[in-house]
Amino acid sequence: MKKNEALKIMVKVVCFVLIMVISLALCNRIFVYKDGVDKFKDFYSEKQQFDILFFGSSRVLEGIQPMELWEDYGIRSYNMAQHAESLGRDYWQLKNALNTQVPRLVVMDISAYYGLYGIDPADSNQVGALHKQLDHIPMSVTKLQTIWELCPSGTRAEFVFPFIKYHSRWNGLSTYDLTYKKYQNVRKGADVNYGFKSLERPIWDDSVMDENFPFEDTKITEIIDVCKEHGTSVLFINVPNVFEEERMPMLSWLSNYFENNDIPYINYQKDEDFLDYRIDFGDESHLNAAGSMKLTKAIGQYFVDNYGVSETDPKVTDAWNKVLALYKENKDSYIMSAERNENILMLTYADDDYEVKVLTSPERMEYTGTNWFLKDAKGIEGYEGYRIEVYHAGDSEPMRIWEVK
Amino acid sequence: MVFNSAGFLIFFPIVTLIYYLIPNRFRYIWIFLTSYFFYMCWNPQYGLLLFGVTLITYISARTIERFARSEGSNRSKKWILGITIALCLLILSFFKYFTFIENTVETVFKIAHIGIGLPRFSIIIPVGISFYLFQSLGYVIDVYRGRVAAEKNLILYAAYISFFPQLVAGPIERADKLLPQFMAEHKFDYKSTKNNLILMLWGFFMKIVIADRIAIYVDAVYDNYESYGGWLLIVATFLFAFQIYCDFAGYSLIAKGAAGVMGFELTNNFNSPYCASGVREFWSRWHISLTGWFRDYLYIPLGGNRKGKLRKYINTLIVFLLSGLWHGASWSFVLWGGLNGLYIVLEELFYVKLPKVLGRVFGTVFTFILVDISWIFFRASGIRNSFRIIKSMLTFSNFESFFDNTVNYYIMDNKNFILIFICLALLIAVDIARYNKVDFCAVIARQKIVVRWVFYWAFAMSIIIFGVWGPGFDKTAFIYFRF
Repeated sequence: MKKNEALKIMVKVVCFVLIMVISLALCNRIFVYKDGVDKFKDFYSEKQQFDILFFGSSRVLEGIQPMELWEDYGIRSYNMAQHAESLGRDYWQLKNALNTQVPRLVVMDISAYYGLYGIDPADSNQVGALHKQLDHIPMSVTKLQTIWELCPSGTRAEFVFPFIKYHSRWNGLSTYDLTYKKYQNVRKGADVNYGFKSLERPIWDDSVMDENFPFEDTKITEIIDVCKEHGTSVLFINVPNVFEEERMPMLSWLSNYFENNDIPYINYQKDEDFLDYRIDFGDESHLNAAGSMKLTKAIGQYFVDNYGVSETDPKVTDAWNKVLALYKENKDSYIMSAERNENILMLTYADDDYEVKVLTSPERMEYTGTNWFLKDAKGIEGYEGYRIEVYHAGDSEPMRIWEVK
Repeated sequence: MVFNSAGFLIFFPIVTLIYYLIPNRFRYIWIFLTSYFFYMCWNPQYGLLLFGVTLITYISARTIERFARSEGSNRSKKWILGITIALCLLILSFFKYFTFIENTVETVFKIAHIGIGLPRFSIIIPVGISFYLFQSLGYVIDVYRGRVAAEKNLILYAAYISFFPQLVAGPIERADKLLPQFMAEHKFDYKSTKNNLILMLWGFFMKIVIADRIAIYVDAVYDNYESYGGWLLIVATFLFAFQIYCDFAGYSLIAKGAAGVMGFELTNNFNSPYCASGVREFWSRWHISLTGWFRDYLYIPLGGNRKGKLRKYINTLIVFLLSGLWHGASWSFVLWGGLNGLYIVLEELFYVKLPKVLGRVFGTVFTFILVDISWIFFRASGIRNSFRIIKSMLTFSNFESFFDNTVNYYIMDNKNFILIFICLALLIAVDIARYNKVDFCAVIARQKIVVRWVFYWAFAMSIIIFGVWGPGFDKTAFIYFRF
C-alpha cells in the first residue's frame, strides 16, 4: 500500500470515528433521563456563587427551600440533597460541588446517618439513585473517583457514559429531552412535600447513649477536611423527624460527639421549638410544605446571625428575582389546585406570601382542625358554612376561595 | 466472549491490528493464542477439552495418513477412523446427551413399570462443542478419504479448529478450504475490510436489533402460552422464525465479516432461506455448512440417492432425525428434524409444478408456513407443550389483544412492537434483493461519498440506539451456541 493511500485511509477512519464520537456524545445528552439533570442542571451549567449548599437525604430535599431564603434574607443557596442519600454519597456529592465553586457555608444533615442509609456509599440497590446523582455532573477526575468509589463494579461504564443505560429510551423521548436546558429549576434543587400527617412530638430523652453505635467518623472528618481544604465552613444539622425509639441513643451519641469535638452542629429537633407536629409533617420522616417554611426560616436566621448577608451583584439579583417570580407562580398553581381544606391551610398559613382567612363557627373550626393552623382565629358564632379565603399578602381580593356548605 | 459484548469490541480490533503487524509466518500462532483466549473467556476448562479434541483428531489424522502410505493397511486405517469417530461421539454424548440418554432409559423402564434411579450429574455443555467436533471429524474423514493431507503443524491445525470467528457457532469449515488460508499471505485491503465491516454491521443489526427484540415477545408468550393463546401465539411463532434466522444468520455474518477483515474467507452459511419455494431448497439455503456436512459425511455414505427411491427417502429421514438430535438433546428436536425430513420426502412424492410467478409466491409462502410449524417443536419446551401450543393457536382467540393494550402492557410496548415489523420489512427486502443476486456492498460503493457516509453513520447509530443491549437486558447468547 502506498503511503498516500494509507494516509487517506487513516484520515477517513479518524473522521468517521470522530463523527461517531460526536454523535454519541450528543445522544448521551439527549437520551439521559432528565430527572437527575433537572435537579442539578442550574447548579452545574452556570458559573454562579452560592452562600449555602445543603446536603442530605430527602429530609433536607423536602425540608429546606432555597427560594424562600432568597426572598426572606437575600441568601443564595442550592439544595443538593437527594432521596435515600447516605453520608458516604454526600461526601462525594460535596467534593464534586466544591470543584465548581466554594460556598460560604456547607450544611450537612446527619439524620440519614442514624437512620436507614448509614454511611455505606456502595449499595448496589442504589444504582438508580446514583444515576440521579452522577449523570448531571460534568466529567472530571473527581467524578471518575466518585464513580469508582460509589458504583458497584460492573456498572461503572454506564456511569461514565450514561448512554449505555439510556439508549433504549428512544421510545420515551419527547421534545423536552431536546429543550430541557431552556427550563430552570425554580426551586433550586428542592422538592416540596404536599402531604399532611398529624403526628405527636416524640418524647426527647438523650440520657442514654448507644456506645455500641457502629460509628465510624471517617466520613464526618473527611467532610470537615474537604471543606477546610476549600476554605468553607460546615454546619451539621439534624432535620426533625419522628424516628423509631431505638434510634434516639444513636442520635444522642452523635450529638455528644459533635459537642466533644467542637464541631458546629444544630439539632433542630431538640434545640428549636418552632414546629407543630400536628401540622408540619407530610409523614413520619419528612416535613411538609409548612414545616419546610419554618425550618428554612430558622436556618436563614442562623446564617444571617453568624455569617451576615453578602452583597449581590445587581445582575445576579435580577436573575434570582426572575426565578423567584417563577417559583411564586408555581406555588400559586399548587394552591389553586389543592382540593382539601388541610392542604390549602398547610400550603398557606406558614408562608409569608399568603394570608388566609377561615369563615366558620368556632365548633367547626375545632372539628376540622383549622384551629391547629390558625391559632388566633376565633371563628364566627352561628356561621353555618365553611369557607377558606387565600390572599396574596397585601391584596384585598382573594386569589382562591374554597367553600363547603 | 460473545460477539455482542463490549469485550469483543475491544478484543477484535486489537487482535486484527496485531495480526497485520506481525510477520505472516507467525500469524497462525497469534490466531491460535487469541482463539483460545476467546474461547476460555467462557470457562478456562473448556480450553482443555478443545485442545483434547484437537490432539485426538490431529494424532488420528497423522496415523491414518501414515497407514495410507503403507500398503495393506486399509483395515488399520478404518480402525483408526472408527475409533476416532467413536471417541468424538463419546465426548459429544457425554457432554450433550448424557442426561437425555438417562431420561430416555428411565422412561423406557417406567413404561415397563420398572423404577430405576440412575445417578445424576450436572454437566454443563461446553459452548460450540458440536461445531468444533464436527469440523474435526470432517477433517479426519477427509484425510481418510485422501481429500486433504494431514496437517503436520499441531499449532496450525489447532488454529484451524479453534479459529475464533467460527469456533462456537460455525460455519463448519472444511480443511481443504480453510487450512491453506492460514499460511496464505493476507495483506490489508481497505475495500475488502470495509465490505466485511458492513457484513458485520448487518449481522449485529440482525442479532441485537431484530432477534433480541423479537426474543422479548416470543419468550413472554411461549413461556406463558396458557395465558397468551390464539393469535398471540400465532404471531409469536411467526416471529420466532425470524428470531432464529436473525440470531444464527446474524452470528454467521459477524463471523464471516470478522474473518474477512483478517483476510479469511468463510462459507456463506445462509442464503435468503425464507425466499425458498420448497423445503429442499430451504435446506440448501439454511445452515449451509451443516447441511453440506451431513450430505458428505452421512447421506452419501448411507447410499444417498444411488440405491433406489425408498432408500433415498429413508436416508433423508435418517439424516434429518440425526440433524435434529445434533441441534438439541431432546425428543422435540428429533421430531423437528424428522418433520423436516418428512416434508422433503412428501415434497418429492407429491411435487406439482405451478405457473412461474404464482408458483414462486405460493411455494415461498407455503414453505415458510411448513418450516414455521416445525419451529414450534424447536422453540417449545418438550413435545407435549408443542402440541398444546398448536392446539391453543388453533383457537384463533385473543385477536383483540393487539388493540386493547394487552401486548403494550404485558409483553412489550407498542413502539418496540411496531419497530419489529419495520425491521422485518427491511430484512425481507434485503433478502429478496440478495436472492436476486444484488450485491449490496457494490451498490453502496457506487454511491457518492456523502451518501455512503450518511449510510454508514445511520446504520451504526441505528444499531446502537435500537439494539437490545446494555444494563437491564440479558446479554442474550446466540441460540446456536448451545448446540
